Amino acid sequence: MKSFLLNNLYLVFFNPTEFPYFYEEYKSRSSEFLVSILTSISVSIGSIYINPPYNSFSEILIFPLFILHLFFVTIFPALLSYLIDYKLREENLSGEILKMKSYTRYSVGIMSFFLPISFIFTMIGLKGTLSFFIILFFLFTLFLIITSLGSSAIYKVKVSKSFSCIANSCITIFFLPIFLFFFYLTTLLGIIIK
Amino acid sequence: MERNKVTLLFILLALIASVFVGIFTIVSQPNSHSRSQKQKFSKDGLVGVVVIKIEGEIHSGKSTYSSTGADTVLSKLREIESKPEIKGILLEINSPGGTVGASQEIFEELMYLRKDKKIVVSMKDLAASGGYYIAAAADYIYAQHGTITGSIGVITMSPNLSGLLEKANIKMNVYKAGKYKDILSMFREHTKEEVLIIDSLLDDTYKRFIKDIVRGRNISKEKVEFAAEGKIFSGENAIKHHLVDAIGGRREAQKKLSELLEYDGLIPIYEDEETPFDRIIQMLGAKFSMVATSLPMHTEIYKAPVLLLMPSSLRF
Repeated sequence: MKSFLLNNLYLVFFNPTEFPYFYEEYKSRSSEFLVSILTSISVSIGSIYINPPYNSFSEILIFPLFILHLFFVTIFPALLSYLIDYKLREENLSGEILKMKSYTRYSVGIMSFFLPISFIFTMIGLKGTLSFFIILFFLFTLFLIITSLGSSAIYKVKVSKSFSCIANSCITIFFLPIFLFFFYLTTLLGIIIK
Repeated sequence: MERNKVTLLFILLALIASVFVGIFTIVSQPNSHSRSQKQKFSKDGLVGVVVIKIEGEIHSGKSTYSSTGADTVLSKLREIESKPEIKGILLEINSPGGTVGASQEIFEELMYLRKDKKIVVSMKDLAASGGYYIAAAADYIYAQHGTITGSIGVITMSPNLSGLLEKANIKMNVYKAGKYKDILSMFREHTKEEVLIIDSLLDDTYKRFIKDIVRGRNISKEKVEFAAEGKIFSGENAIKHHLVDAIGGRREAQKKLSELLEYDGLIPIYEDEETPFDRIIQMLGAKFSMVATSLPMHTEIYKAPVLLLMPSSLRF
């Protein structure tokens, strides 16, 4: 499993163009799950670490935050890969959803750098919500770049094309719940007011 | 390729180590990264002054989110007494007063503490009656221009429902051993003797109030008596009547404390940290304030017939 994990991480972060060729050889659900766990632990602790002062409530908060982040880093890559596959397969008509899902699950591992970066930020005095969002934005941009490199290799399309596709997919994923929320809200209000 | 995998392994191990470091830091060193001075005042070894807030009605028992309980304040004051690194107290008062016993207890404790520590008061919107009683124990009092203070007086109230009962043809049977056992009864007219007893009780408390203000403020009895009789003053007027020393807020109070304590620069201020959990409870408390959080305060004030309270703040 250790070699699977390292091999997959090596392919995703150092050699994304080779990932589709080695997918069958190195595929491992448990190593994907390990990356998800490490990422969610790192983000949940980092988000508390960057917001001092700490108190007993911070300690209690680590566990629910970990569960929520684990849920997010498991579901988000899957949703993203469904959308990417839907959008990019139009080009060559070949579905590569399993490869894409696996790749996205490894690439979301870049978020595990959240905690070390928050250490550095805290040391230099950058704390609070703004710093939290700066780190998140930085890591998310890296995630987009890594994922677009991988998807361009998987679907054999240009990097710029895959990047815009992934960016669009992310916007859809993040804003769809908000749109739905307002849709439900206005519909319900409409019914109630009538 | 192998070199990159070794690098990856190293990064993975470093990430795992960072998780442990993060957990250890959060769990073992609470408040270690706080630059704010809102630290728990019980933190040892830090020289500074402590903020104590007197908010809402003052009563016996524990504080609620909208009132001040004498037990809570006294336990804080006793904790301060045992900590030599705490050199002073900044009392922030926003209170219309409360029960006699609670106000006197806090006043006496502050007078005792004043021997070793400096006390400065910063008045907010209201520091009247029992609120002023407590303020009088300070070395220096600041108020805002618009602060309402004074109301040095004692009050007791008892509704007379006899007319209403008569109209409804309801009779109240009271069985008592002791002529004055139902002295503040709301079901009949009070006798002259009873009125005399109540007057004497109020008079004693009023005299004690005046005496304590003279003791606390170190001004003449005549000056206090002139400003008393339940008169209320704005911050500026209160200075003229020697009830307040100057206009100012926390910044001025901090400067004054530094000056009184001969501290080089501004002395650090410590106050109880409000945790997110406290904030949630506070939010819930505010939602149900009329029912849940005010209940202990109302109970305590109901128990005490004689009050050091601005009549306008009675909300029964």
